[in-house]
Amino acid sequence: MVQNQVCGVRRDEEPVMLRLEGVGRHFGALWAVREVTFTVGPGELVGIIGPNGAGKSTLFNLIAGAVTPSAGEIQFLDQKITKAKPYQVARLGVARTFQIPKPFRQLTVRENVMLSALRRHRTPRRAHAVTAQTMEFVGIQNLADTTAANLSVGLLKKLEVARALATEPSLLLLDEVMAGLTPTEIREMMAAIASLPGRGITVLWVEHVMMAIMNVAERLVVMHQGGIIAQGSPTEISSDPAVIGAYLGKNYVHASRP
Amino acid sequence: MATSLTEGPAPGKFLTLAFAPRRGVLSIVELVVLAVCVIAVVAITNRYAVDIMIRTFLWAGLALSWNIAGGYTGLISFGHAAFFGIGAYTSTILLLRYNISPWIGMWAGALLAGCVGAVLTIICARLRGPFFILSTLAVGEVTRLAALNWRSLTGGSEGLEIAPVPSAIDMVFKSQWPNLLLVLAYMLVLFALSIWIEQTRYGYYLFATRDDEDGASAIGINPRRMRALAMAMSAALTAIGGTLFAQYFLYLDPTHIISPDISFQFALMCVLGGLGTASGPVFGALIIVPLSELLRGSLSGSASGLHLVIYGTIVIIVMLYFPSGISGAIARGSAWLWSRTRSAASAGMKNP
Amino acid sequence: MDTLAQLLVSGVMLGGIYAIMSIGLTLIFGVVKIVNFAHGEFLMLGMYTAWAITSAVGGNAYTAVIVVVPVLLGFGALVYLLIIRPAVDKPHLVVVFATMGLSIVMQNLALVAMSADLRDVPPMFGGAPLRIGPIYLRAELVLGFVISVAVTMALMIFIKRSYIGKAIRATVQDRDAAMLMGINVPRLFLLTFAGGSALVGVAACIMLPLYSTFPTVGLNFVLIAYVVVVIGGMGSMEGALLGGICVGLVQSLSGYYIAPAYGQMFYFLLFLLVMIFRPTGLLGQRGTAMVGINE
Repeated sequence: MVQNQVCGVRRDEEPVMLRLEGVGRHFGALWAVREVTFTVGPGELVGIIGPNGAGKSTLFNLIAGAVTPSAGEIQFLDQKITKAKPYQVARLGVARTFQIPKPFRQLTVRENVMLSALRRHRTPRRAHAVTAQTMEFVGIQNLADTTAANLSVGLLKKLEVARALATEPSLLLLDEVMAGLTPTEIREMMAAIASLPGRGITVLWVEHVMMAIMNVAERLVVMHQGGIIAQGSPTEISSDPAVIGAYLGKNYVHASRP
Repeated sequence: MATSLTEGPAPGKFLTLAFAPRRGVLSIVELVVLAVCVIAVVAITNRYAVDIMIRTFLWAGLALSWNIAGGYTGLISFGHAAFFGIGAYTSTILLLRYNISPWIGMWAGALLAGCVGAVLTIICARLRGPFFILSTLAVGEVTRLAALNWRSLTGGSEGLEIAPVPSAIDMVFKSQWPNLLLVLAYMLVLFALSIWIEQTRYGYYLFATRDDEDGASAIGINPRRMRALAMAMSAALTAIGGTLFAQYFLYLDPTHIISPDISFQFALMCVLGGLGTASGPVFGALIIVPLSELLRGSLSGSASGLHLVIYGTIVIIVMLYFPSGISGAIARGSAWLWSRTRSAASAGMKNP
Repeated sequence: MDTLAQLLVSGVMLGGIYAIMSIGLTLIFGVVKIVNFAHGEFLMLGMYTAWAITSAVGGNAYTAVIVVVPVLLGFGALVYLLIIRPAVDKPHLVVVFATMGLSIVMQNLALVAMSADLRDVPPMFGGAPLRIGPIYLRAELVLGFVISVAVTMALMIFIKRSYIGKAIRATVQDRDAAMLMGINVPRLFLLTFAGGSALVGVAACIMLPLYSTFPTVGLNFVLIAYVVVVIGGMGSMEGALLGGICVGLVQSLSGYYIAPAYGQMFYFLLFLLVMIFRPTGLLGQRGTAMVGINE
């Protein structure tokens, strides 16, 4: 996998994992997402931030196929996925988590994760290895036999991530995974997410918990009122006047990667 | 064979046998119950008792069929009597008019019912919750009214009668024995099918579609297709039960065959027995059918309908306080028993 | 032409009666977000009560409303507290099956207590139909229609003007927001369920002069009520009126022009058509059918 070490600069000859061009979506008279254009390269860890109502979740839903764009094109590898349905997008190798977790409530944690693994491994026996590894990676293996309905919010979020990862995707869409986690859990999750590009998984991550995303993402895309107002490394965008104007304070200018 | 009692099956340990009924694994309790059924089939010869057994096993099979759509996939249908009727009427009409053996007609009925079920689910693809349930109710009623009014095809309210002339090819038997074997096979095959579904990935796809459609889509499952397939399968299997019914009772009429009451029975048996498990419908039928026959017999003089009052009250209580039904109660009870036996045994070993 | 006018008018009249019968169901669905599968049995209870009062004490089915409405109000409250409230936050199938169990209990208690015999009240207006121009109508039908429309109008005004009405509309739109605004939602649920049941009592008193009562009379009418509510839109009072009239017209016209038995089938087909193309009904809240209820 080609790893992009340079932040914020894309060269046209490099392969692109996800491409959005002029993507927009309106609900009635309101354009929740306007003219969004950006790309994500293989092995990148890109974050999307922005104040509330910026259109981040809508953008995610557009990419994942839950909502159809009113304008523009979305391309994953060589495929046009603009009008694809969620399950079709998932089958191409894009996995997503949901902001409000949607576990399979009557199944155990292990079964939840195993379902994802079953997409690539045809029988439960063969899916066992991937299931166990993924649960360990996220840190929920001790609860493997607990029914999902009995989990706390933080654990449900971890389960969301595990379920997405067990499909062995090439692109992972993380939707505000940090909300509701304890500080320890946040640190664990940050480490887990940061290790994903090393495992060959490209990550696109929407987040509100600034400490987490500013310290892990290589490149950030800032949205405001449906459009992109800045792109760049965490350092660059935290001193960008447009972004500061939108909502960031100067506190995070000195954030750096561990 | 290992035994295990943790919640949920442990994939990778396929041929485990649990003690208590649990999703995804065959249990000793279930095997014992099924063995008792087989023994009863061999041992009991009293006509009345055999009649009750035939009804019981047939209902168990029908409930298991409903469960595939309702319990496993979350497609709660109050119109399944339509599929039951399609099966019964198709094979009977083919027999009476075209002299086609019900052994073949049965599959025609199943195919027709399966197609109707699939089409229905696709048409009602966007409906959820009570809206879906009401649609199934409407479909059941439309089917009943169609059967009632299409006299030339179905004989209308007078119904259809199969001549009680014994003939193996025409699936009409002199003694109850062959019918009994047929329905026993129906129940056993459907039970095995249910356990098999629970263990394979298709079953898991159904559970996922039931528990969270968006989550299922997000991992690449096509929920509409799953729903249509589950309903088609459930409808086809119900239709086969319809043929077996027709060939035993030898008389069909729309009011009794395609009624909302029958539809409700399918659902209630599964719910009381334990929704979404293979043993639930079986326990539900094994307890409800003989019990209501006995109650009806003993109370009919004094107060017909009283047994149903009791039945309805039990339904309310079970739904509100024992949502996992009889199967869940048995599972908890036998799990408790098992752990007591184990601790007693290990205590015994520690202190010889 | 006269026949057509006759069919149209009697269809509309019948529709008004179907509306009042269904209005409680739609109100309960809109507010509590559950479908009461024992709705038909509430109607049956009302009809039997009205019959019992007229047989025992005299008067007619309309005056019996004085007793029937409180009885059903109390009964509705009781059912809510014992059966609905424990089930409200559980998966929807719990309420579905619990109310189904209730319907079985009620049908069979009626069977045990009253036997399967049909019970009627004696005709009130001498049996001769009213004549309005070329149209002949049973007086009970017209009276029933007038009362239905009056009650429905009164209810709509109540909902629009009173505080409780506002609270109801708020809860229909967003239960959680209503709670945050200080509306006592659980108490509102109780009120709505009891009130919806009381409305069924009114319907029962209007319907007894037109239909006999027997233990399973509920089943016939509850299916009509579902169709009315779905066509009109769950939660909409105006919708119940509109839906009722649609069903009444369909039944009247198809019953004559096609065949009486097919009349029933047609409103179910109409129901299915609405479900497929516009599941939220003509005047209902967008999206309810797709989401279900509290999923």
